[in-house]
Amino acid sequence: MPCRTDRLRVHVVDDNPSVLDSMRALLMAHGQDVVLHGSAEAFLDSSQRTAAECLLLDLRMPGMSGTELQRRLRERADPIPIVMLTGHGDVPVAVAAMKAGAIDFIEKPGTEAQILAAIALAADTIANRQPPPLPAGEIAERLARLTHREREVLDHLVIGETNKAIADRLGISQRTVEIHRSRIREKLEARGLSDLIRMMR
Amino acid sequence: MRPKVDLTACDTEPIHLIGAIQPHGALVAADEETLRIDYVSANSAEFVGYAPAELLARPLSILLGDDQVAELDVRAQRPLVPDLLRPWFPTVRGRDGERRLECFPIRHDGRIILEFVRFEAGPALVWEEDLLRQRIISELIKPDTLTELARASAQILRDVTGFDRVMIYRFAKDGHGEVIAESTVRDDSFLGLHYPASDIPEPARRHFRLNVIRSIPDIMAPPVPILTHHGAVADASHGAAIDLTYGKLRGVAPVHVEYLGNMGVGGSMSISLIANDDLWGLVACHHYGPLHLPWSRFRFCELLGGTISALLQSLENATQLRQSIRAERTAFEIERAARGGQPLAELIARNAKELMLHAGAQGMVLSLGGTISRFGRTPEPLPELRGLGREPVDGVATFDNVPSALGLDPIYWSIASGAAFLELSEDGEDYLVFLREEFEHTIKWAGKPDKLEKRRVDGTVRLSPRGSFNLWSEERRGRSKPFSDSDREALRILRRALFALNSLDRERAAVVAQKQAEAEEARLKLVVLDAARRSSMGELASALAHELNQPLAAVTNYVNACRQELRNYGIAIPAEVAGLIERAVGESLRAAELVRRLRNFIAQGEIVAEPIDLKPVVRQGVELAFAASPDPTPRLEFDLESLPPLVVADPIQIGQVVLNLVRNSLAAMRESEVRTLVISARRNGPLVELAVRDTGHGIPAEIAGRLFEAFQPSTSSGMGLGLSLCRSIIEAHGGRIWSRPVTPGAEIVFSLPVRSAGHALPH
Repeated sequence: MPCRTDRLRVHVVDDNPSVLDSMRALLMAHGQDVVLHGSAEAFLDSSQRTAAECLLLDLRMPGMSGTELQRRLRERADPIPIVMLTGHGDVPVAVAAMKAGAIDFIEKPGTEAQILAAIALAADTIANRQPPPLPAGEIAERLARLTHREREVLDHLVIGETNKAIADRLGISQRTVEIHRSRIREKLEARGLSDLIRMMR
Repeated sequence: MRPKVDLTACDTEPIHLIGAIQPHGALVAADEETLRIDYVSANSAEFVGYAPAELLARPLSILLGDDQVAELDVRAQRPLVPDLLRPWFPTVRGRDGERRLECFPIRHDGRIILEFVRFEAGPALVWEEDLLRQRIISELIKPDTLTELARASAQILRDVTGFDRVMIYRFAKDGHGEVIAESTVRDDSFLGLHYPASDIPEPARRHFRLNVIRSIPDIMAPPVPILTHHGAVADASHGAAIDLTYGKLRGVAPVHVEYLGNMGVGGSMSISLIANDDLWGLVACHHYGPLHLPWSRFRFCELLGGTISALLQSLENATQLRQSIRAERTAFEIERAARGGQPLAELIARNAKELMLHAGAQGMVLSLGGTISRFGRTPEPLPELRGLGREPVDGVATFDNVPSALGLDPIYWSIASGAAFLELSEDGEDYLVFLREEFEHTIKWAGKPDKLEKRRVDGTVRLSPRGSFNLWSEERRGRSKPFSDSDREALRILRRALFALNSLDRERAAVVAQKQAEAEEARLKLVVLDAARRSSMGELASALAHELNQPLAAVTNYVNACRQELRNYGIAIPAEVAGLIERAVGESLRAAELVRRLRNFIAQGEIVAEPIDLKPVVRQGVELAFAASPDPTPRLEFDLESLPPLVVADPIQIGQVVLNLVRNSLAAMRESEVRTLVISARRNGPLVELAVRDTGHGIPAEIAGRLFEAFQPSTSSGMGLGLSLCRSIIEAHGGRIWSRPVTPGAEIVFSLPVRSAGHALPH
């Protein structure tokens, strides 16, 4: 279980009070400084900002959406690392968010490991450290383990296509895509889609 | 010596007031009341034994005796039309004794007119000739066509009379004549010859109708003047000219003498053929020299003429009937085939030859459902024929002068001189036109007309068959054989059937079209209903997934936090407790996975975004909403010019959004007086904004804030139907949806990024 000493101030923005409270409980248990916001607008209005901060941001909210908040922050060149919290079926949007600079995304309900890894990644980003060192040669070596079909599936995955879309496009079943997906994860030693996207970036 | 011919007078010449008779008989006429003799032909002495001066102003009884004068009350009757000869054989007491004569008495114009000819003893020779008698009966009743009857009649009449040539003319509606049968001993032939109507002037026509048989035994015989009191000639120049309309001996008009003379005819006889109380035709007998026919034969010819007329009439009626029946049969065949499901155009094409036969046409043009088809010989290029259908009678209009009726170039004359227009639809769009060629092209003249020609001293050819034919041909330039009443009747029969079939076809097509439209509407409704069902299911699933994920996320977080806090407090977690915690987390994740599967199963699919043109997508959404709505269509404005040509989006999902928004607008405008829907697009940086604005009741302030949330009262009250789904879709596209206050009504705006993740738009 990764447990880093870096103490961050984690801003959590979500419209659901239970999610906010449970997130606070989890993150505080892991020693993080947590600030909760019930909406994107509330976050924008808040003034408690320090250098070591990251943002866990819900994609779907009434009023300003997570995507919109991300856009606004980027517009004012705010460097705060963003981890997107998404519901089901929002993967394409999450991928778009990563393209737009989000460092990670977590599909709700995320596992503890996913959440902590994302926080750790944010800490690395703030410390201007490269993400877990993975030399290009290593990536190439792992990619070489993929079959032609797996490589094809990967190419579609990293541009945010859904299992269904990939299945339609390649003329295979969704179940087969899922099998390919887990093989790809194993062979590339990735935890999830966000790792894959980072590797292929 | 022949009198001078004045051609210009030929149509006005009062030939019944000619004041002369032919020399093969004598005329005596007395006042009907006083029985005083007022007119005597100059040759009276030769026939009745008194010179004119001895008879004029004397009582008729000096010639006939009191008994025979009394008999005149019965004998001399007013003429009937058509009249038959009423021969009488009185004994006339002349200066040189008594003699028996044949007399044709007639009562007319206040006078008793007696025409005396020589008495010929014995019955008519024909009655002694068994063979001829049998032929007359058997051959005249045998033919079942007019042409055959005419041919048989000409043959018999020539056999009975001994004329060199017997011809049967037929007069057309326009008065022109045609030789339809001929029997002759000569080499040349008049068969097929056509005469212009002017060749038989109206006064002559009148005489043919009133006086059905006339003979001119010798055209060179000098006419005998009819004298009245004081030695005056009783012709047109005299105040009391005698009317010879019904006379058998009437003098021959000079123009007629010239005409016969030009053909080399020396003696002639004509018998009028009357059918249905009209002058149908004429039997013309020509002899190339004088020919004196015995009077009994003359009378027999008159009888034959009447018989032929009667037969003609019945044959003509039968022919018309047969033509109608034939048309009915063709119509029936076509109808029967149509019942078998064959389309009309195909049926007409298959029966083209038969149809053209009915119309006596060589070409046919069909316009059906905007398609023109041609059959037989038709002009190239085809002139516009619709103009022929301006004034149809019972849907049929016939023309024998198409070029002048339509103002056509002479190039069309040869095969489009006549036409029959059959209207096949009420709106005049569908029609069938039969084309007849120029009349001259249809004529087959068997004779050698040049031989018959006789030029006048000044070189002109007139009053000769060839001259007549030329004149007639000139008259008929650009004209076809005229359509007869029976042609028109047959065409009406055919038209009735074709019109009915076409109406049926059209009705059927309309029904099919309507059924298609209804099916399409039903399909649209189904699509919309399905979309609505799916959208509400999708909405439910999406909302469930979202709502359930929140507590599940919270549960997972809390449990994980617990475990971590226990560690933080230095409490060693017993293995079984750690296992329980693991299972709690695992079950939460499994619940989340179940929700995901449920949503995927119900929802109509994930977003399949690709570069698309949004305009048709938006329009289709609007159309679907209109089709599914019971409300009247509002005024619709599109302002989609600012839309980029391609936007990365899922067309089905965005169509669903537009559909939902427009349905809400239609519902909101149900009570509005002004109903306007405006769909507009605006470019805003990397986004495109689409707005749906209506003039409905607007959005109540109390629900405006939660408009796009699932399970809101706005949805159940019909307000803001499917807005949370819209929001899901738009946000899944990386866009936003919101409402903007407007007065009156509401405006919902959604934005979409023009480009999306993983989709570079082509430049």
